Amino acid sequence: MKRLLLAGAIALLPVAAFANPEERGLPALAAVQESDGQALIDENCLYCHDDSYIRALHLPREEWEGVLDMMIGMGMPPLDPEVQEQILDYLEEEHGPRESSPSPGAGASADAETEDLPWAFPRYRPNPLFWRER
Amino acid sequence: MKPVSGLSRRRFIGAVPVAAGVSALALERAAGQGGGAVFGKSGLRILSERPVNAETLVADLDPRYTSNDKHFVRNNGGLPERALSGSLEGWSLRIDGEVGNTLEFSLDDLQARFETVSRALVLECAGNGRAAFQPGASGNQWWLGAVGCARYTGVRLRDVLGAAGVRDTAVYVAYYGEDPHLSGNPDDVPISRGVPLSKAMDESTLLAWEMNGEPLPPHHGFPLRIVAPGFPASVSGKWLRRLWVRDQVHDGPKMMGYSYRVPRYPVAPGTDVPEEDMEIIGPMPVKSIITRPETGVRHAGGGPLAIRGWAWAGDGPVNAMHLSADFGTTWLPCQLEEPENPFAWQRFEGSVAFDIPGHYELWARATDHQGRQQPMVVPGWNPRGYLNNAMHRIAVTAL
Ligand code: HEC
Repeated sequence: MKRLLLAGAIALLPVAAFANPEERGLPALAAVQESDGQALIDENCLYCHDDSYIRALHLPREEWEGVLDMMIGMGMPPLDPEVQEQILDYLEEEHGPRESSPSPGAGASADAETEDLPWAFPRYRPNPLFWRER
Repeated sequence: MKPVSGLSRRRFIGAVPVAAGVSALALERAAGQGGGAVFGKSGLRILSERPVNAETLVADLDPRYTSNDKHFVRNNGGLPERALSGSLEGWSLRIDGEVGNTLEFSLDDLQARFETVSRALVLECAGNGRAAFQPGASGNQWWLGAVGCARYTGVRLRDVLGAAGVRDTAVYVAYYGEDPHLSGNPDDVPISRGVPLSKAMDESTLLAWEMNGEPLPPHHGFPLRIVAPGFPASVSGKWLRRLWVRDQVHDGPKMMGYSYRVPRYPVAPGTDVPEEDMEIIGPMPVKSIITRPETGVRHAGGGPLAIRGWAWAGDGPVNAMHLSADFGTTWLPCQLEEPENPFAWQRFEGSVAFDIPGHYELWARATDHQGRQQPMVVPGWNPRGYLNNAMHRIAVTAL
């Protein structure tokens, strides 16, 4: 069985290498999309503030739309509708709701805080009744 | 997010002359490239570098007066040039609006004309603890450290208002500072809030030029700021240039909409609250923090564990402080000092014995002068995540 798998892997290798754009010196499609989105953020957002506000949030698309509206109130010129859609695609993809939050109520930063000290943060959920997966 | 230690002061100060003529914002950006350095600050948890928002680590809240390099910073715009240069050239404070005489003061005038007072005063961001709200709220994800108690020196705002002669029509005192808007547009104002006249006339509300015996540091409002303790720290305007006494509730940037406002009735978490149902936050609720030991402590030896921290409330003293090591089943009273002056935080000390080795949580609960206690859960969800005064909890392993 092992040998068979190995043989299969060898047989597939040239095809896989050919199919992988990175092997051919091309960035992967996902990377292209990501950097486009990032470039739009750089251009349209980061001349005012750094990206920490954006990174701190994990929101559904409608709420990101709300944030963009709020930015107009903060002095951002309205975005070209096409650019706005691309930015929203990017925000939804990269900063959409997280699968789960291991320590709800403990807060966004608690996860990172506890990496080094797994026992350092109180683990009991303060109010599971109101916790809902986002 | 990891604590980032600041660039050493010496290195930064060395860099300033080289950058002379460059905008303060550019300077800040350059400083940020060092990996999270904020001028005059070290060892804070940096939430954003532009604008600068950074909170104090809990252990650094242990001293009675939060030091200038550790005190939290919440900036809404850039840093004014003056704050970095330390120059008073062209600076004055103007008081106008609903007053008998429009007045303009230099710093020397203020110091010469009115009685100088020093007070230990707590400033806390209304969004302190925002990170714990579920569903989450946008804005700085403050955890525990957007609070501090420093000694401020200045004059009473009410003495200055008295000199200008407040008219009967006055209801609000608004501030304007020198901080540039993030957009760089000189017509944009990053923040202009204020306080009701009664808070402005409170004898603890100061116009301060010193923090812990030093001229106000750049991020804390050099040369002059309001310190209106007990209210959200955003009313304590920094880099002051103008006080506008108003005949209506002030409507400057970050007074309106959802900023520093909560629904006037309790709402279910996640509710879309109409703007007209939001009301401005007044005094902050009772709160406390355990500063020693740090969470995660491993306590050996079987003896009692000494606990200490600070307690404060936004509209009067804290009257009692309790600890629980069993999820609130039983509560141990702590020793609690009287405040050094109104709106100073109060030291509490207690000790807890653990009969059986194992994992514990310690909860700290303050009770204010009206018998109101800190809630055990994150209270009152609101759209922007303000006023989380839930009890502080630390994890303890008794060995
Ligand atoms: C004209 C300047 C400007 C531009 C351009 C701008 N912002 Fe902002 N943004 C602000 C200001 C001012 C704040 C409030 C800062 C604060 O309160 O500390 C802010 C805050 C935010 C926040 C935090 C929201 C909150 O509740 O405080 C997010 C998220 C954000 N911006 C995202 C974006 C995104 C995404 C873009 C680009 C599409 C963008 N911003 C473009 C000025 C701007």
